[in-house]
Amino acid sequence: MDDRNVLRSLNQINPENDRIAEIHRLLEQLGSRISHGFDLPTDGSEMTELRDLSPQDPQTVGPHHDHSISISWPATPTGLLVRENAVRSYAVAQPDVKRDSVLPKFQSYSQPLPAARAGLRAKPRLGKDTRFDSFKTWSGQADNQISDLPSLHPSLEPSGDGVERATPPVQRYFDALEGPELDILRPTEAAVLPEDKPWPFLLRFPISSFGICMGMGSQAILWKTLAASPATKFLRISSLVNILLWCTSLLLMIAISVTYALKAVFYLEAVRREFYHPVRMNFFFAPWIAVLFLFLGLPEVVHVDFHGGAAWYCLMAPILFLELKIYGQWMSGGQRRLSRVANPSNHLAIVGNFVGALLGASLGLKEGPIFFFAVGLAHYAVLFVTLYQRLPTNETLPKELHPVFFLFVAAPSVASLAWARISGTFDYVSRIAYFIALFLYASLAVRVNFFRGFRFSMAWWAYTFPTTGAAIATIRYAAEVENPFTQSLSLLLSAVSAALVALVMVSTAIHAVVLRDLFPNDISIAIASAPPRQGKTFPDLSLPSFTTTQEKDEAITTLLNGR
Amino acid sequence: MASSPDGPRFVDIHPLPADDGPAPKPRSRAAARQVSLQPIRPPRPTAADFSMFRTKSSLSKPPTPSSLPLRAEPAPSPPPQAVVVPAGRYFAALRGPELDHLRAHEDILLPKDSTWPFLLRFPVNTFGVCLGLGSQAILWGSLSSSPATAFLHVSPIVNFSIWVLALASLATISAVYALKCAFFFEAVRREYFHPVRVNFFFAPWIVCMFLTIGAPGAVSTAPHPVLWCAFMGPVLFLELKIYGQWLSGGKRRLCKVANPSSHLSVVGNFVGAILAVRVGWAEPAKFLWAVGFAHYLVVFVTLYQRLPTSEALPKELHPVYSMFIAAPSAASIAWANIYGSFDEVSRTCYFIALFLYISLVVRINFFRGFRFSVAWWSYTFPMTTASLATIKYAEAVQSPVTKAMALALSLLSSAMVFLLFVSTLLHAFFWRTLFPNDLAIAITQNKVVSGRKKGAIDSKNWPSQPQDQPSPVPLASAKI
Repeated sequence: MDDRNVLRSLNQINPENDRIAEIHRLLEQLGSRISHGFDLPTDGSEMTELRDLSPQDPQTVGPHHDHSISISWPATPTGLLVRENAVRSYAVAQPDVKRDSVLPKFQSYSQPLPAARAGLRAKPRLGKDTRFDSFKTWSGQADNQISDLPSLHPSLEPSGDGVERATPPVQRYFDALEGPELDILRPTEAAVLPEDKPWPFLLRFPISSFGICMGMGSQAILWKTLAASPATKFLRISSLVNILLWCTSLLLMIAISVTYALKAVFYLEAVRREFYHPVRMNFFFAPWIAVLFLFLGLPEVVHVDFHGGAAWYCLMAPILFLELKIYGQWMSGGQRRLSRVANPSNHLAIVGNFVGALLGASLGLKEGPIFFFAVGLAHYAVLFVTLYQRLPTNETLPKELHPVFFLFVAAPSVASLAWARISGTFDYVSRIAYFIALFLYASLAVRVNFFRGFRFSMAWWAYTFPTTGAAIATIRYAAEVENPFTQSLSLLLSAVSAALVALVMVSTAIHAVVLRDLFPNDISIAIASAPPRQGKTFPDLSLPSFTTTQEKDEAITTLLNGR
Repeated sequence: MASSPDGPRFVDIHPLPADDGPAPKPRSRAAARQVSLQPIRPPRPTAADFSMFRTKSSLSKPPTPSSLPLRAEPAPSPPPQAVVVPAGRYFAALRGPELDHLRAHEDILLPKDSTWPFLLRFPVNTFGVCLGLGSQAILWGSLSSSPATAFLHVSPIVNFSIWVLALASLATISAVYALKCAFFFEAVRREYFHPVRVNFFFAPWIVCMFLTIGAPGAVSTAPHPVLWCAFMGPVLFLELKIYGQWLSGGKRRLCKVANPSSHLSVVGNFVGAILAVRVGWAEPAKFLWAVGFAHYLVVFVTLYQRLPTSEALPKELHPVYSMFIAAPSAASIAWANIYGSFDEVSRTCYFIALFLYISLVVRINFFRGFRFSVAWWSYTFPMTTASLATIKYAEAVQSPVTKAMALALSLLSSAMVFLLFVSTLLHAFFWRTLFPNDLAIAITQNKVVSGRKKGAIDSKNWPSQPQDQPSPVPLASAKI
C-alpha cells in the first residue's frame, strides 16, 4: 500500500511528465541505496559516483531521495531484467551511456489513472457535451453507432495498438469492479465517463429499477392472498389494499418500462453493457417476472382473457430465450462459467421458471408449467449447490451477509407454491420446498445484524420479494395445516415483508427527494474495455510473484550482486 | 484443435522437406513445431517398442498380429511403465475434451511416426458404434409399436435389421477388443486408468442391455432375469469402483475428472432399471434409479459449474456435450416404466432433457471444425434416448404437437446416426484414418525431465496447473 501511495503521489506531482523515466530513476536510486547499505564498499569514491547521478537529472525527485522510501518491485521478468541492466550500468559507472538505451524498453510501469482522468477533465467543454456519445445509439455520426471509445478519449489509449472492443469481456467486469453487486469501481481503474458530474438521467437508470415492480407486485399478491385465504380470514383484510397496491405497481411498471425503453433507444450501448455485466444480466429477468407478478396479483374485479394459455406462452417466451442464453453460457459458453459468475442474484434467473409455472398452473395449464418447473428445478439445484460451496473462484460472492442473500429464499418458496398449483394439493414435494425456504429464511434472519452498513441501492427492492414469497407460501401452508402456530407464522412473515417493503420505500423516497442520490452515476457500465495498461491491473503489478519477503530479498540480493 | 498431430497424417508429411511437395493440410502451430523439431530427435528404434504394452504371458510366444515383425530377443528388462500411470499425468500430458491429444511438450513411449499395430490403435470408444446402433434399434422398434406413432406405419423389419446390425457390430467389436485384452493388456489397463476413457468401459454392458431391450418381439416376451444379472453385474462393479473414486479415492476426484462422458457411468443405472422392469424385478429397478439419480445430480451440478479444476471440460461446445441429454431422458423412461405411468417425476426429468436439448441445439453452430473420432458414435445415443422419451411422452399426452416432436426428434437422431455411419465408412475404407495412433494410452509415466518430483508437485497443486504449459526446458535438451 505504501508503495502505491508513494507512486501515486509521485504521479500527482508531475502527471504530465515522463513518469516512466521518473519511476525508473526512483528504482535506480533505491538500488543505489540498497547497494550502499549491503554490498558495495562504503568508501567515498564509490559513493560520489553514485551521487553524481542526481545532478545529471533535473527531474529526479530530490526530497524523496532523502527519506527511506519503498518502491514496488517490478512484477514481470522483463521488468527485473531491465532493472538488472540498470543496476549494472551503475556498477560500471556509465549511467549516461546506458540509460537512454535501457529506459524505453521498460514497460512494467503502472498507474495510468491520473492521465486518464486528466484527459477527461482536460476535454474542451464546448457548447455540446460529447462525452456521453460513446453510449448513445445515435451519436451524431450515423455510420459509427457502436462507439469507438479510443477516438473519443485518446488519452485512454496508451500505445495505440489495442483496439477497443465494443463490449468488455467478462473478465474485465471482475477486474474493474468490486462489491457483491459489482457496482463499485476499483481504485486502480478509470471510468470511460466522467465521474465528477452526474450523467444524463437515462444513463444513470439501471435495469435493477425493475426490482421496484417486483417488490410492489409481490406485495399485491400477498395482500390478495391475505384477503382471500381461509387461514387469514380472521384478519378481515379488505381486497381494496390489493387493488391499491396492484394499481401502484402497474403504474410503476409502466413508468419504469417506458424509461428503460427510452434508455434502450437512446443509449443502446449502455444497455448492452448492462446485459454483459455478470450481476446485472440477471436483472433482465426482473421485468418479465414483474409482469408475471402483475398477472398473479390481479384483483378480482379485473378480468384478463388468456386465450386458453396462449398469452401465457407468449409471456414465457422471453424468459425462455434469456434462459437459453444464460444457462447455455453456464454450461458451455466461453468464460462465463458458473463457477466464476455465480452470485445470489442468479436466483432471479431461476425464479422466473417457478413464477411462470405458478401462473400457468393457476390458469389450468399442465404441460407448460411442468416444463418450466423442471427446468427451474434442475438449474436451481445447480445454483444452490454452487452458491453454498462458495468456491474460491466466485469473486463476487460477498464475504459477509448482504441483502442479496435473501434471494436464497425466493426460489424454494415460489417452487413450493408452483408445485402445489401443478399437483393440486400442498403435498410432500411442496412441503419439502417450503421447509427448505423456511429454514433458509430463519438462517438468514438470525444473522441479520450483519446487514447494517451497506449502501442503499435500487437493487434492494428485488431482495424484498423473497420475503413476500415466503409469506405467501406460509399462508398457503397454513391453509393446509390450520392451527394457531401456522396462522401466527403467516401473520408474522407477512408483517415482516410488508414492513421491509415499507422501509425500502421510505429510504427510496428519502434518497429520491431529500438526498437526491437515488440514481448515482452507474459506474458499472462505464468501465474501460481494456485494462489500464497492456498487461495487468495495478494490484498484479505491485504484488509480484514473490510470496514471501525472503524470496523478495533473495531476488534483490541476487540482482544487486550482479550474479 | 481442428487438426493436431495425429499419426498417419503426420507420417505423410514428415519425410518431405517442409517447403516443397504438395502443401499438406493446414496444421496447427504445435504440429508445425513438432515437424521442425523432428531432425533433432534421435532416431528411435521402431517396432521394438510395442512390447511394453503386451500381456506379460504372451511375451514368450510370438504375437499374432501379422503387421508386427517378429522380435527375436525378449525385452531386456521389465518395463517400468507397468506401474499405474497416476491421474495427474493424464491431465498433464494430454489435452482436448476427450483427453486424446498430446500436449506439445510431451513425448510418448511408442513411435509417433509409424502406424502402430491395429489392436493398439483400437480404442474402447469403438463400443460407441454399438451404443448408437443399439439405441436406434430400440427407437425403431418403439416407432413401429407405439400407439403414438402408429400413424407412421413403420415396419418392424427396420427394427430387426438395425438390431441385427447392432448385434453384429457388438460381436465384432467385442471380439477385437477381447483380442486387445489378450495381447495388449497393458494398453487396456492404461485405457482403464484414463479419466475419460474409463467411462466407455460401461458402454459394452449398456449395449448388451440395449440389445436385450430392443430385441425384436421383446415387447411380448420378457427376457430372463439371468440376462439382467449378467449385464448389470459388471456395470455395478464398475460403478462401485468409479463412484468410490469420486467419493474417496485418491486423486481422481470428481472436480478434476468430471467430463460430459461421465454421464455414461450414470446412464447405465437407468438403462439397467428399464431392463429390470422388463424382466419383472421392480425393486432392483427402483434401487438402480435411486443410485443413478443421486450420482446424476452430482455429475450434473459439477459439470454445470465448469470448475476451473476440471481440465477435461472443453471451453466451447463440443459433441460430447450431447451426453447431457442422455441421463435425464433415460431417467424419465425408467421412472415411467417402474411406476407404470408417465407422471410428474417422469415429466420433470423429460423436460429437463428437453430443455438441455434445446439449449444445445440453439448453440449448435459451434460444432463445426472438430476432428471426427469414433467416440462420436456414443454421442448419438443421447439424442436417440431423448426421442424415445418423447415417444413415451407423446403416448401420455396425445396431441399433434407431441407427435410432431416425437417424429422430428426421431428423424434427427436417425439422420445423425446415418451421417456418422457414412463418415465412419469413409474414414474406415476411403481415407483409412478411422483408427489413428491412440496417443492417449502411450504417455510416459513421468514428466519428460525431472519427472518424479515435478509430477508429485503437479498432482498436489493441480488447481493452479495452467492449461497448456510450455515445457520448462527446451524440447531438444529434453530428449537427451
